[in-house]
Amino acid sequence: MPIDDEIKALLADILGLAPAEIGPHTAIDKVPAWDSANHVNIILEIEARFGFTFPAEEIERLRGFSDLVGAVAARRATV
Amino acid sequence: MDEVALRTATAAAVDASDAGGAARLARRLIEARPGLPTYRFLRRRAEAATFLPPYRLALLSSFSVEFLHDALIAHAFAQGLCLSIHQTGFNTFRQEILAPDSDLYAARCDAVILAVDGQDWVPDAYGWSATSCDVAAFQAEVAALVAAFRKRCGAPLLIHNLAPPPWPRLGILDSASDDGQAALIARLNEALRAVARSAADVHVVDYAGLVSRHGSADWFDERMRHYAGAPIRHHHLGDMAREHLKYIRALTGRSAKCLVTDLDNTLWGGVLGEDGPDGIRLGPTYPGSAFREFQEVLVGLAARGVILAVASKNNPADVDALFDRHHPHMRLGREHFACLRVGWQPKPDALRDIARTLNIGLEHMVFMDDSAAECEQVRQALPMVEVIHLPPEPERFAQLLLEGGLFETLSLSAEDRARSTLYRARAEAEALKDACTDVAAFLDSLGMRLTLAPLVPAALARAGQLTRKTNQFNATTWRLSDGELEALAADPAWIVMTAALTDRFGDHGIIGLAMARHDGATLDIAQLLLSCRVIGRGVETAMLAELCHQASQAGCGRVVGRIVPTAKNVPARDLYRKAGFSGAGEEADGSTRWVLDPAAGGVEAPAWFHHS
Repeated sequence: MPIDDEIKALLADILGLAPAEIGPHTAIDKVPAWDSANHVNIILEIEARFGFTFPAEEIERLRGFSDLVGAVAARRATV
Repeated sequence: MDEVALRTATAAAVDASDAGGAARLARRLIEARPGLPTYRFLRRRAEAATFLPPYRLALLSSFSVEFLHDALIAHAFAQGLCLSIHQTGFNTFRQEILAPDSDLYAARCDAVILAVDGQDWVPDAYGWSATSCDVAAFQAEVAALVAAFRKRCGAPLLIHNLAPPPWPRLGILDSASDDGQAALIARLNEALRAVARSAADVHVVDYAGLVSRHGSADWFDERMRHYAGAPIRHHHLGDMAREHLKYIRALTGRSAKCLVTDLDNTLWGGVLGEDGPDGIRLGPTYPGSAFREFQEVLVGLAARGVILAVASKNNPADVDALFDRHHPHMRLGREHFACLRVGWQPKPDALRDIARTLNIGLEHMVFMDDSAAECEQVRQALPMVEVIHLPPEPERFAQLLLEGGLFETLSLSAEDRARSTLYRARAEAEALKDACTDVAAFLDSLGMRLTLAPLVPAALARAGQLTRKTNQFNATTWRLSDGELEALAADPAWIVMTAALTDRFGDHGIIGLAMARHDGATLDIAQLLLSCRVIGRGVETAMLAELCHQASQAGCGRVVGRIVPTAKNVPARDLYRKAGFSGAGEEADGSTRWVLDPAAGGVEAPAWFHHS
């Protein structure tokens, strides 16, 4: 599955949305269910799924779907 | 079934309001794929599972315990409960407990968990500079919180003990030092235990034990502790929830009472009928050593009150011979088992037969077998029985049997320790009954001595346990916490009476309880119950006779009783009619009322009891 589809599925599950509803507009200050607790859940489940760990200070900067896809793709590229 | 099929089947069971099926499928789903996606899925299904009994839990914590919610709700769902959580604010546990009008008390929860991290509660003990920590002050604070809580809330209180840090302050010297961190934290936990012991229905959750089982270096997530106040690593949230559910299982009287075990490749390696008593694998070397050790685990379970029984497809003469010739490495003897069903009948029949003989509900039984086919047969025929399918490696048996917390209890009475013996006595008494045609003569031959007495503090834990565990001979299924029961016993308007029984097979301890309220005109029996192992001996009639006697003495012209029918309490339904009470109507919920004038005859105690 492409990275963005996997992240869509993961966000949909955590936020209680349909995968089709997820896109570049899906972000921490746009979706009420994306609160600070779910932000931690999203980060930890992406880490578990893709097999790496974000430094704590980067977690703050990952504020939406596009940030997450970019961060995962960047790590994929360096491996 | 794979994960997707299990999810579909779980959702279908919820839609069909199939409580047992939904819980069983949830258990299998968690087993197949533990983790937050599964917990989240189950939490969403649990929201629709309003047919499950509700349970409301309050969580008080010094850290972000919200991360635990999904795991708790999912594991409760797998146990057949619809859990809702009242979450109090971050690190506000002191205010919540001390303020009489706090949300905590308004929420009226079934149980309250106080999960405070050691670093937050006793920072001195976790510091890196040479520490001095006032254990007495800690104990006083906990005692004050517990006292304030008890004054306003009767719910059970579960308090986490303190986990030692992964890296002790003095390094390898720490555990050798009297003033090391390990010794200090052990003293703090001892103080916590002392407070819990002296209060009613306050229990210590062994968080230190849980963390050490999984390894503290892996348990704690330092990044998320600092970033989000979430110290427990995500993949351990299920372990934490499962630990909490052990306590809830015991509190709600849903712990298993009986373990039914297979023999071949379960208690020893090999097949007795083929390998012979000298050929089975049981002894000092692997795999026999692992089987021998597993037998010791079962001896330990029996000692803590779990009833053991055997359901085995074997030649009875072979099994008899093995027990009789004292195999040098058998740790289990005939005396450990309340009931042996050895033969060629299907396992579900053997289980039904054991349940009937011991008078235990099948839903309180656990079945353990190495054969996938027999396990499946039991699952299909008796879905209420918990089935443990053992793998080929005997060294894994103990963990599989123990990790689910199926047999947990919050107290251990003398009755519990002697349970296997007493149930074997029951099975023997049943056999005697078959031989005796005159029931009165049979009961007389038992040499029963019955002691009816007001509830004393030493009997509180056992009496409370009876209200929570008894299903069959239970007039109203009124279940009480130890604290509630203690309060009733202290109330002069209430009679709280225990019944203790001995017979020629042994001392059964406390086996009955009655609670009645009197107001000078009427004695109202709110509850009367008996342990299932003494049903059919007339103890209830003797208890009613004593209550009528006390009613007369208190000047009451009327004794009334009530039966609230449940699926299980058929044996208690005729309690009042048989004792000569008249029916006084039926209520909308199906419960019936019964009335008797104690002056006009009263109730006569059976002649076969020798009172003391």
